Amino acid sequence: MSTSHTIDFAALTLQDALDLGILIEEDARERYGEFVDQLEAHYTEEAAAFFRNMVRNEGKHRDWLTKRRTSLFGAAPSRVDASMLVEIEAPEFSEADIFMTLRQALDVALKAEVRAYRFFADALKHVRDPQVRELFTELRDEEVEHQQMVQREIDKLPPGPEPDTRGQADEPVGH
Amino acid sequence: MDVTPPAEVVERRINARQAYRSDLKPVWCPGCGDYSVLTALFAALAELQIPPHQIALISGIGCSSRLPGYAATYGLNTIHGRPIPVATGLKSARPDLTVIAMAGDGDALSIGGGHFPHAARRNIGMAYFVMDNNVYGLTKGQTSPTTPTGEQTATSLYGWPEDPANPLGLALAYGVSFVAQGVAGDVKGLARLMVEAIQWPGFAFIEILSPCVTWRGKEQYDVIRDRARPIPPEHDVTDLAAAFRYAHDPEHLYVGVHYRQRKPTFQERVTALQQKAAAKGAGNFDRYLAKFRA
Amino acid sequence: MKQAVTIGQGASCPCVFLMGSGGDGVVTAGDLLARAVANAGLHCQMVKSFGPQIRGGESGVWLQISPQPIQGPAEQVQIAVVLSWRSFGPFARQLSLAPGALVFQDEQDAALAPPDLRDAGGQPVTPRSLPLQKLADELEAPRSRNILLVGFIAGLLQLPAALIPEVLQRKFGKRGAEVAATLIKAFHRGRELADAQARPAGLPALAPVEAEARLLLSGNDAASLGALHAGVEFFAGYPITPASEIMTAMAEHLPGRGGMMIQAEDEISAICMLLGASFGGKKALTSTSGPGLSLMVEALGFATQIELPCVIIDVQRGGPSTGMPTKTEQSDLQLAVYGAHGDAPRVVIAPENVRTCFDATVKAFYLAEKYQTPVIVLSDQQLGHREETLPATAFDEGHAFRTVIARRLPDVKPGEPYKRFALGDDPVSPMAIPGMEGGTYRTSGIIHDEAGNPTVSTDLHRRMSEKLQRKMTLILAEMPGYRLEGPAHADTLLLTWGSTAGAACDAAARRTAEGRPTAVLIVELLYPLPTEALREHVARYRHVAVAELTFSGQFLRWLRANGLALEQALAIHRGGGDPLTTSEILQRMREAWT
Ligand SMILES: Cc1ncc(C[n+]2csc(CCOP(=O)(O)OP(=O)(O)O)c2C)c(N)n1
Ligand code: SF4
Repeated sequence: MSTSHTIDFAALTLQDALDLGILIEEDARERYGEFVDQLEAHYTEEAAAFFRNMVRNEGKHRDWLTKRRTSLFGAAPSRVDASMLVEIEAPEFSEADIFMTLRQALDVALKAEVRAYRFFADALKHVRDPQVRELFTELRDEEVEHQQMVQREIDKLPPGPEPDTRGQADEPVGH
Repeated sequence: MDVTPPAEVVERRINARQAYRSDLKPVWCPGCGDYSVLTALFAALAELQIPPHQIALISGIGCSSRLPGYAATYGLNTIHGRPIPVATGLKSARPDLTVIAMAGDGDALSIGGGHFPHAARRNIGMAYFVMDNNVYGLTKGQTSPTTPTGEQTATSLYGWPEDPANPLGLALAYGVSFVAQGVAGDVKGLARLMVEAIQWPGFAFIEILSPCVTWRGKEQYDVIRDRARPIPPEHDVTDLAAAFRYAHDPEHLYVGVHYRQRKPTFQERVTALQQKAAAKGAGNFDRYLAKFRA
Repeated sequence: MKQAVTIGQGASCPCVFLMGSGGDGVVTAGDLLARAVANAGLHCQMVKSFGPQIRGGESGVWLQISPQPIQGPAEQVQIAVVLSWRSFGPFARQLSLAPGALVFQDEQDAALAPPDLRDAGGQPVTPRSLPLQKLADELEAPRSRNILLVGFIAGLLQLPAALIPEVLQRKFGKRGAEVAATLIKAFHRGRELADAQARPAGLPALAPVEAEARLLLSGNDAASLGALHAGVEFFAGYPITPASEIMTAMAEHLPGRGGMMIQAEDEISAICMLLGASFGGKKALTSTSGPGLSLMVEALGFATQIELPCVIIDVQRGGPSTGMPTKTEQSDLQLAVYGAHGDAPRVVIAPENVRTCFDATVKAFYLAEKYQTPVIVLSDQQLGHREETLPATAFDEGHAFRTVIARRLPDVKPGEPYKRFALGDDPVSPMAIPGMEGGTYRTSGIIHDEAGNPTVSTDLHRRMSEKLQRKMTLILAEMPGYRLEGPAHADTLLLTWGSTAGAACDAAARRTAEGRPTAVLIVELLYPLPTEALREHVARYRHVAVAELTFSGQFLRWLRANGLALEQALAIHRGGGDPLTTSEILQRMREAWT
């Protein structure tokens, strides 16, 4: 439902690409942080703990990109509009769910990572600048790693379909 | 376009969240659309760089109306249906403040529906965000004035026999000077609309489609996603007739600014009449008392 | 031919009644007479009554005139002038003619006079004819009957001739010298008419007193003055009889001092606007009557809960429902003190006469700001609309309650936590207003903690309830909330409140004069009720009566609900929409305690 983003990848410079990357990571970090808050307030601790982990991961990526950007381009003015980036690596707001299990939380993250992978893969079709190609390839491959990491976590869970516990939950409270 | 280097953007965003968030954690159901409305609001306020102590958020009663509690501004979670008059009193008495009224669809169109046209007439300089989830969230899923016909809810077990109201259409008919529609979940787009609404000199209404995952289910997100379309860039925002067509489109929910037309604000008019009255010497106790000399 | 008459058995002051249809201008005549009387240094009380027509219906004016201040409402009329018998009907029951009263009519209307007109003693009364229309036509001012009437009454009462032309000049001067001159001529013709009549005996002399300047104003005027003195900055209201005059005054005066009056879309909106303005740090006022107060109830509880100051002047009218908009009653008491869900204390105070409408309003703002609470001022149609003469110094220092305070702001520092609803020894916690850095707070009608955040803590619910209630205790410690009047050796106590106080005081004075020393206790503070003090007083008297203008005895029941032992008390109350009169109260006491 997000308003569509139109980025002219062909015109992207390395600085632009780094700037994009930083904001994408920050968006994701922020969103996971919100999920932590939402779930903590509802005592859904397992999922919250996983999302807390994601906050740390996305933060690390953001910092890594920021460092590169600063060392290469310093405080040069940015040409990237932060408002173009929506739900690229961040899970959608609607994904949070009450009484979310760890498996559901992992699924949410997996979906987001797949989406991010597709973003970079699609972008690479249009990117011309070789340095940008290099960076985006790197980022795309990282998303694959993330997917695998999440998948490994999922595999650790007991097999079989998730029991749907929602019917057992109490009725919501009216005010 | 923002030219700030991203390191700074990030820092500003983090600081802003710090500055605008209260220490209270939202009680909304995880996944509720209202979370993203709050996030969008923080983003908008951060962009406008309004100090928190110059802001007052005034809401009614409902899940959505809990929002002011979560922002480190001044805030009142008033009574059901009355955010508009409370905000009107505040803004007219304190035009220096940034006043934002907010409500749910029940608040805004049912119990408080009578205040809406008058806020439009007065063109009070405040933003008004209605978080429309087509249902009464806080009281456990009863129908609201925007529940689609035929829906089953806690109070329409055999299907809702009434027609829903069209909030955008009403706002346009009432003469609201800024009318927009946003969707929860689209934080960036919503924040952009909020920035415009908060800066608007006059009464600025945003109908925010904000799903209630508990009573309308996750599917409400899909329904909105499927029907939402950005309002075409060629739409002339001063064209009221065109705005009506978008508002009443049977198929699509148009997201963006539907209508925008500058009109004198209440404050502008009041300032003029205050000067007139002062010139006449009205308001002076002794002169008023002298009028009663037999 | 002159014919001596004696009217009014022991009446302390003459009461004149003028009536006609809307076009006859009797209200204008009453107003002119009142001003002349005031300028003669005399006292006067003027009550107007109108038919149900929006305009041009029947109207009547009661004018009490006396060398002494007047307390109770008009009772028997000594002089009545009826300009239109056709529209007299609605007044027939309301008008009580003193034995020997003089009734005048326009000779052209004589054929329509009721054949069975009687005075209060049952004696037939024959109206006397005056050639009013004829004289007006002669003056080529056919609509000047009311000015002729002013001259006629001034002549009968022997008011100084010089006073009226001056008032006429002031009132009509701007219509041109010619108009004023004609009217002054009409006035003198009226006086000559009176000379042909006998001055009725039995009336106290109305010799002009060496006069200080006087004011002539209504309770609604006095309340508006009070609000301006108190520093009102914001008014929102919805028009309703009999309170609208306050709204109009605010519309006139607030913008000139940088404030504003908003005509809200309904009373719910009005009170909510007040709360918004008050949250913003402004002194906010609304005026309304019963139907409006009913709509405000929910928001009033909210104001109590979030401790926002605001002032509501309820000019009560006859109820229930639309009731009698132009009549009076004290029947909003129950709504004012009880009208809330949950335990939501608020302050309710009542003026007892036109002058104290000023005091009560100033006091209301004072209490609202000091204790951060909504305050309801219970005026009524009788007080709001009747006009009285007052000394020009009535509202000066030493004569009226004039204390004005500003809101107590907290000492906030950015970065330091601020507790809007701090629980401490002082139940009043300083209130930040938007714009103050370091003072941001969020709150709601939900039970909140000290910071203002919602809570489900039952302990906090209890402690916050205590905080609200303790403010009421402090108010009682600060002011008596009542006034006792009468001889120290009295054995009878008349308990009353609001506009009934005047008649009660008159009745007590007359009862005392009859050898039954009677004191009056007028309750000003209806919530919180000064129960302890009242209990002590009540215990001291052999007889206690409770007088009020409600059908069901709301005041008596409120006193009893607060634990006052009034099982034996004489309950004086009724419906009807006219104020309780002195003789009514006196009569009930005589019957009860022979
Ligand atoms: C006078 C009054 N009537 C009823 C209620 C109960 N009530 C609380 S919230 C609400 C409706 C909430 O629906 P909406 O305004 O759409 O907000 P949402 O919870 O969906 O965000 C109702 C009926 C109330 N608080 N006050
Ligand atoms: S009930 Fe609905 S509107 Fe309320 S918090 Fe839950 S999801 Fe949101």
